[in-house]
Amino acid sequence: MAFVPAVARTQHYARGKMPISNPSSGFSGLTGDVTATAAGVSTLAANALVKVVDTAVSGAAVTSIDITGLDLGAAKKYLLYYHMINTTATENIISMFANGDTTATNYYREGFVASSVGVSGQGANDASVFDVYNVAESAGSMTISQPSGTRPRSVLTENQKAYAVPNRLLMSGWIWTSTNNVTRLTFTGNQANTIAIGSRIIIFKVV
Amino acid sequence: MLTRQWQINAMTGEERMMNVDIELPIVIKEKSIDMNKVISVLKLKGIITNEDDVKS
Repeated sequence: MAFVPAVARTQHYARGKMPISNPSSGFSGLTGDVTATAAGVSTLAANALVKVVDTAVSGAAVTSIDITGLDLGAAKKYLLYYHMINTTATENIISMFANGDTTATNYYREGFVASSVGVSGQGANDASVFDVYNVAESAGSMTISQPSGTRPRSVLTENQKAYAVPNRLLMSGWIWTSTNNVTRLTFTGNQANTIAIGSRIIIFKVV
Repeated sequence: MLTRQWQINAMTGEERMMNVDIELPIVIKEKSIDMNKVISVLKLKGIITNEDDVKS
């Protein structure tokens, strides 16, 4: 049988090396060091994440971060990392709008928060995706996908400070009711100029 | 009121800050303008955060 025995994989992991799979070469379950040749890098990149946005707010705090030039239909999926900072005394609720559609009722979200205080869930017919509490930070990651002709959907996992709780988990889902290809995402706070300097968004696409 | 938006173009990598300094509420005197569209654009640009900031 043409497979790598489990014991070989175990030994390999034990040495701190990763098994690699190279579909274009016909190998499957191949183990070994990643060879940093130009050809090898090119082949691996064809099945990898490619960074399309890496930005941090500078100069002054802003109300919104507007990302244009996206193409969710062409990408298989977007993987988005963010770290938002709020230095003001007011909680900032961030909405994610697609293609400039700021009508809140065109979106749905469901989620829950968990901490040592307890677990609670909530949902609403709006576009808010996470909040950044007063003098606090929220950091998380989000996947967004949209096969052709479908509504875009995202799933988010976030670590946030919430009042006296320094480390609360938020998990939530978001959809846009339109099936139009997403080419633009705008993150807008409900408080003016409350996304502070240093707040960062990184987006990868799966190619 | 001064409000700002951080803009990024994923195709070109261009980043810039857009500054808007206006007095709220914004009063729209032209009656033929679609208020919902005005509110939508102003929200997207971060110029207003709720619909009460625009009057007709």
